[in-house]
Amino acid sequence: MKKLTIILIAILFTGFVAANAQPPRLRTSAPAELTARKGGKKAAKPQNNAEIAKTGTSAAAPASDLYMALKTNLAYDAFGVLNLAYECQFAQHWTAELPVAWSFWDWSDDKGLRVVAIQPGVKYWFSNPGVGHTIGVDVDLAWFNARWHSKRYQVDGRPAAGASLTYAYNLNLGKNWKAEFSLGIGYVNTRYNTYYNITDGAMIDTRTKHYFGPTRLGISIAYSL
Amino acid sequence: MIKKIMICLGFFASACLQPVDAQNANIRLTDLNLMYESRATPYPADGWVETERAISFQWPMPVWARGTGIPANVSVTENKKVDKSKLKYKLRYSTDKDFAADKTVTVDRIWPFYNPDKPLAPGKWYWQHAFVNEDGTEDWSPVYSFTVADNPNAFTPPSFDEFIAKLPTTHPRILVDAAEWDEFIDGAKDKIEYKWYLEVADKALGQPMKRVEDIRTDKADELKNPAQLRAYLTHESRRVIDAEEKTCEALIRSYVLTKDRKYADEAIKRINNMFDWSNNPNVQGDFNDGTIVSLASMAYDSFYNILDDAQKKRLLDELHPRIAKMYEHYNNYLENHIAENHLWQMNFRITSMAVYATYGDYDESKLWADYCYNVWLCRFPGLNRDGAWHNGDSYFTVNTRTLIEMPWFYTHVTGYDFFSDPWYDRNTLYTIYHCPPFQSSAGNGSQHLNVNRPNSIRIGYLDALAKIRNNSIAADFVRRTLEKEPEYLKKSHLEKPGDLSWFRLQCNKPLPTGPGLTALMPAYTFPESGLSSGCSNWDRSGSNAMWSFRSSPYGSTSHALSNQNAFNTFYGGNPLFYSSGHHTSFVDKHSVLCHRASRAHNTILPEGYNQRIGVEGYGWIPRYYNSDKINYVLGDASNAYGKVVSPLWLERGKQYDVEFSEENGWAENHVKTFRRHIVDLGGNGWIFVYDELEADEPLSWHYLLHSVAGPIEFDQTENKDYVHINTINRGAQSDAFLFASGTLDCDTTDQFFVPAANWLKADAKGNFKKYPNHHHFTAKSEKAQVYRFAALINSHGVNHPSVLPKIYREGTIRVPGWLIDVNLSKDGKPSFTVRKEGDDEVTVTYKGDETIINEGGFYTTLNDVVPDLEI
Repeated sequence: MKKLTIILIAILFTGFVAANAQPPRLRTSAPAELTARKGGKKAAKPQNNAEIAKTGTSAAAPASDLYMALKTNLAYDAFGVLNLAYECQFAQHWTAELPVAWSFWDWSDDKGLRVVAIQPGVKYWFSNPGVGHTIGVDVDLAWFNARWHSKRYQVDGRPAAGASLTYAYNLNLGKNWKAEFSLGIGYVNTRYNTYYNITDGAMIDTRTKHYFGPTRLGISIAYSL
Repeated sequence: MIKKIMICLGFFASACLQPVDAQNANIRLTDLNLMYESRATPYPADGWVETERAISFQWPMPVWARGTGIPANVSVTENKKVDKSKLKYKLRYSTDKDFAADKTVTVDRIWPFYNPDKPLAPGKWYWQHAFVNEDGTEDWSPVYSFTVADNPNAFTPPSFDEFIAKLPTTHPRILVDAAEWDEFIDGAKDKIEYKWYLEVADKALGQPMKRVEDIRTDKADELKNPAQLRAYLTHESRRVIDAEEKTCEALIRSYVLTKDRKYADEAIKRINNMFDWSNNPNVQGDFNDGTIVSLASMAYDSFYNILDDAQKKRLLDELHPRIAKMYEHYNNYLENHIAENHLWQMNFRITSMAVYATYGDYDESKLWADYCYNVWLCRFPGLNRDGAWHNGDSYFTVNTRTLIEMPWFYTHVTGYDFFSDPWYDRNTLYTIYHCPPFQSSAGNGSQHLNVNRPNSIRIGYLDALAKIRNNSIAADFVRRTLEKEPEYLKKSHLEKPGDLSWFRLQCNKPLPTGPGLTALMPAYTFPESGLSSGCSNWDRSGSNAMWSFRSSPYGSTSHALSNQNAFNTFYGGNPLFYSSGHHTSFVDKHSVLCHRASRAHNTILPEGYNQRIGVEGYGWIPRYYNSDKINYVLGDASNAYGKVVSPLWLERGKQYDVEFSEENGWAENHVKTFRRHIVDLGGNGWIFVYDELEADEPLSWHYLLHSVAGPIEFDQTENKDYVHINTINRGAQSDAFLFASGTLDCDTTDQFFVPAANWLKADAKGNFKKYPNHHHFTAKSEKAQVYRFAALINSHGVNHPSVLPKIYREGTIRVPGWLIDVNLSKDGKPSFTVRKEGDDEVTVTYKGDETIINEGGFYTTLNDVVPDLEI
């Protein structure tokens, strides 16, 4: 966990350094998102020469940045699992992502999901980051305490842990808004205790589960920063 | 579980294959034409997103009612007869796709356009139009949708009702507003233009007026072709009438400047005489009606307070049938025509001003005014959005007065800034880039040879734009010119289409200061018009290396030439490899076969055959990249070739005995691909030109270069890898090093395909100036289905001879500061890499799919993008 955090911070720092290079002043037929710095940063938005002609001043090249986005997964939100993900470009076709999801409340007297989960990962974008299709890998960690009818399930000491392969598609909704549809499959290992679902219910047993199947379903709204 | 995994993997794999499909990078258009002589597509088109201006609904007329354009120099009455009283339309638009009554506006129209009174709210809209048949049935179009973006700065001029309510009811109201007359005179007195007008007017007071008998007809007997005869008489009558128009204009304006009645009396006397000129059979052409309407309406408005009733009645009586004829001709035609030259250039402005000058005096005043104002809103000023003038560099300037005086008047009356139309700032760039200071024009459009430096009209236009738009770059252009020649603007004083002296009397804004031409990037591309050009040095015009390129969706109609994927080169303002031929007439054998036709331009002819004349012979610009360090443009002329099929041009050919035959260079098309890449190597005078050619059968490919000045020489012996071609014009030189897939058969000639005979343009003494020959180089390939050319062209001063390209063993070509790898083989994908030497990281890479440009570590991926087109 500690190593993973260090890696993510290093990636973000590298991207920050790259972002400080001066982008070229340009006008092109290519959409702005198809200009990117190798190893990071988007180039200047196309220079509007008409604007130069109008004002008589050559506008300074606009400050550029990495592709960065904040996202929330509506599919999770719908179940009361609030979540926020931060995504940042660190190479021409690569982004790193850190989704965090949490839920601290019950749905009813005998049903509920309390969870804290993170799914840090990296994605490869076939076009440019934030555009079209992408695949990625991520690490899944979750601490849960779930109640369902007569049983309650809770991680036993260590979080559920696994890894996934994810496919996603980004749809541009205009301006800075995008929709992202994602599906991940992978392996999760969890060791959990089962209790009677009553106050101070007794533990029934402890099991280890090897899960292989869908690990992520995303219908997210993203705002690119 | 395995099944579940397989489904997921299958979905994943299929989805991943889509985005990286490289063939998406190249778009192969299959349309017969992209633009139409008469509107064939609705506007806003289905799916359109409007970001910068008010919505103006425009739709096609029934096919039977569509004008095809007046055949050149044929009188209006011979144009297609359409009973316009039968043209009735309906339009409805709504935020509801089912057109719920409470959310829908429905309007009846007699013209195929409609400008909503108020800007439409941001959001999604639906619309459709109908033609109403004589029996009352309605033929509705499909429903189209469009989106209005939320842009508080969008160009949203006031409605006709708002405009007309503010139109002064007093006279004068056109040249000056009566309420500001004295103030105007006080402000004008100290300006140089004030003296210019009085000089001409005072001189005229003592001189007889021109006579219609001065129209020379001695050449007419030699012209057996009726269309040529009409063209000749039109030109001759304009020579006489335009001269008298200048005098009358000076008299009218001198009266406005001084209120001295002697000028008005002299003007009225002359104008009354001119009314009878229309009865003379030698007076031909629609411009002459325009002259009468212009002078009579200006006189009526300017002299209103001193004319007696009989004089006013005479003027109104003479004006009415002429304005009525113009309206009858324009409506349901002009608004849907790709570019009706004479009307666009001058006559529509003249008509509009006459309608406003006489507003309230005729039953039709409101109808006419409504039409004129709303046509301006829906089509003017530029006929497109990118700001370039598709008709080329010479005919652009004949629109100058219209482009300034109309919006100036509307702005003055309404208080809304009509120059805030984004087109004006873009057009400023076109005006600058396509004829930089002291440089020849970029070489597009007929008669471009006349523009060997920005003329006085062009400088006057930039002066106006600089002041109105507070544009210091345009101001810098003007200052540079006037520093060398302070009286330069006087050259265009009283020039009918382009004199802005009166504007300068009206406008008291100074030329702004601020960043100058050097703030501009070296190159600029206008994708809708299909133009691109670049300069190496904005500061030192004497050592500026320039190139230009055209590949245009407009094709070759109107004054646009058939020069798809053609380039031009310049140094120090002198054209070097340049479009050739003379504009002997709008249509005659030489002008069509040797000036309009592709054989006159620096492009490629398959088997020696030309590109089509008409909108069907089109090109386009799928990709461009303009920056300070590298400039790149890709043109696609894959659809340009074949037999001429334009009904308009076939008809024109018949009239002037010009055959679009195989012997003259038009045949069945076999070209599948002609894509020309141009890379400007960082503004050092070198450009790299790469051509990918493919046909459905083996063809010989003719690579053309032309010069209008010095001869073209070539050498095939100095290096086996290339042909060295060069031409010199004064102290300037272009050297082209031409590489190809095979051995080239090269030749030069200084003879036109058809000699340039001057049968049209005589001076006052009846002398016809001779047109000089031009120089033409052809490199002919062996027959091949796939072929590739690459040229490295250096434009430089004669005193600094070009370095020869160095060819390395592995096929890399080196020119100063740059390394180029290129696939010239007929096999494999077309490809090239252009790489800058040294630390400055700049590369352009093309491997048959997308073009990737790396500039300082910033990678731009260029796939084909089809530009938005206007009509």
